[in-house]
Amino acid sequence: MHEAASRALFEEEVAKFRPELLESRGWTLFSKDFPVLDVGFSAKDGARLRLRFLCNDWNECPPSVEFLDWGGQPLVGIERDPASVFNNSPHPSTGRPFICMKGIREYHTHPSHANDAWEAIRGGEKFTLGGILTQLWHVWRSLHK
Amino acid sequence: MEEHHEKSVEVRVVTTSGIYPEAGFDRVPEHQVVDVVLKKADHHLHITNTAGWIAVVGGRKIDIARSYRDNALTGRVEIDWGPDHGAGGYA
Repeated sequence: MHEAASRALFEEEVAKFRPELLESRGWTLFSKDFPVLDVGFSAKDGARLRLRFLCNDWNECPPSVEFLDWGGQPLVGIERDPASVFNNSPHPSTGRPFICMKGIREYHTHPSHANDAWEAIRGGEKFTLGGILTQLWHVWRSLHK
Repeated sequence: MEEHHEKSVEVRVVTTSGIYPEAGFDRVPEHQVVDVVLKKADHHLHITNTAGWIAVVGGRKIDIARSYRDNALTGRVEIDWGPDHGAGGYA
């Protein structure tokens, strides 16, 4: 995908993240400068998690997502969730914990999901940047209210 | 003669595609089914497919096929509307 088109789509989507949304969900927007979308989740119990989306070639390719601590350092381990979306085993490509969920690059490039193509779901309402973030927020909410 | 007072709630829908209404809150009867305002939000925000979406108020998932009253919602109601959590791939 041409970078200008990818950037335009990225900017169109993140521009819709209104302050009311960020406040009500407890989201902190660290960066929305293409190709990086860096969002922190905060819960009432004090827990926090930061996800860094690398959205180069959006939406020809799904975003690559990295777990960060609040200071921006990569996490070497992540709290597991009941749905097994947050996976602590090393990803074959990155060697780091990864998100094992449709819509995430590390899922679609994992040998276990070679037949689960991004192209089949690309462009759906659940698989906009906001849709993917919302799914991950609900995963995290299952651990932290 | 018995006087009839229609109770109402003030409602706003929050999504990653935007907010409905654009400013403030919509005042609707408390007996109205929640799905009515969600349909308006979908139309206004150009959301075309909400299969697998959930509505959450104050951290609690609500039943969109029932009314505000049946969901025990009063006063100002902010509905968080979006896709439910994704399923793990068990890689």
